Amino acid sequence: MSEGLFSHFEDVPAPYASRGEQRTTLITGMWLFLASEAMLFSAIFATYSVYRFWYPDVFRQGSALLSKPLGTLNTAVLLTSSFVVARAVASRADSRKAARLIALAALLGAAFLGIKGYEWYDESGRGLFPGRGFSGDPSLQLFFIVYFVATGVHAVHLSGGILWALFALGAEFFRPHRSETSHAIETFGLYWHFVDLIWVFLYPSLYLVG
Amino acid sequence: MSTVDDVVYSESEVGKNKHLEVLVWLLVLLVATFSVSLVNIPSEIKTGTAAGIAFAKAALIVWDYMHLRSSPRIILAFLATIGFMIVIVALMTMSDYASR
Repeated sequence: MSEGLFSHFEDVPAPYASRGEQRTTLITGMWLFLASEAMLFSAIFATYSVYRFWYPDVFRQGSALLSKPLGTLNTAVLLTSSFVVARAVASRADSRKAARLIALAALLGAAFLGIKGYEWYDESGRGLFPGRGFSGDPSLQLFFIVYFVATGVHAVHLSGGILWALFALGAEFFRPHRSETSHAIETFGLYWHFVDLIWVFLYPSLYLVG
Repeated sequence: MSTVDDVVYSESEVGKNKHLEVLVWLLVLLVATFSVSLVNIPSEIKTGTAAGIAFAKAALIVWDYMHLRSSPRIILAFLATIGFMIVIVALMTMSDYASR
């Protein structure tokens, strides 16, 4: 079945015996990588959970200082980017169309980072960045440490996704008839959706406390 | 046993309408999460509702966008392992929390 879809591709590079084997290896490897990433984020969520149980009022007050509308808008942007990536994966036999969709997803990812960057700038301006310049109730720093670490680690992952999108675009435009290109779009899609998935949990945990 | 090779995510299998339908559901659930946060109810209920909606959104993304619905068993085994490891992390964290 996959032979039909990929029949226009060039030969398969070593060490793979077939395109199917190459695809199986790459996708399974990506899921394994996502498993390790899930462990990283689960540690962050575990830290969040413990501190939230210990200091519920701090988390309620800290969350109230965040911009719910911007957080909600950013969630909508990321969910839309996931839709676009799903379309890119579904359309990957048409490399031009897939490339356009991946470019759009990268643009939406950049928009997310732009809005997030504005939020960080605004929060720092209001003296909410933990440290000597913190101007609020000192106990609130606990919430903002968790907030900046969680959103910062997520932003690093999204930035990685955008860089990967640019790589995939290069692969699309310069190597349009290779099986790796198709596999790269699929594995990229899995990663992008995973980053979206993490935000789905971060959004209510940070913005909608209490 | 099926392999990844057996699964081809082509236009015909997962159509644009299905992806759009999932997006609409995700956005509806997002609005629901936001709306619940504005309602004056106990925070435990708000937290539980928000967590439930987040899991529903995650399930939609994993099931449809990440193709879990048509994935081979090895991928399901990976996901089960991830879930198991996360449960271990949660249990160890909570046992530490409870013992202090």
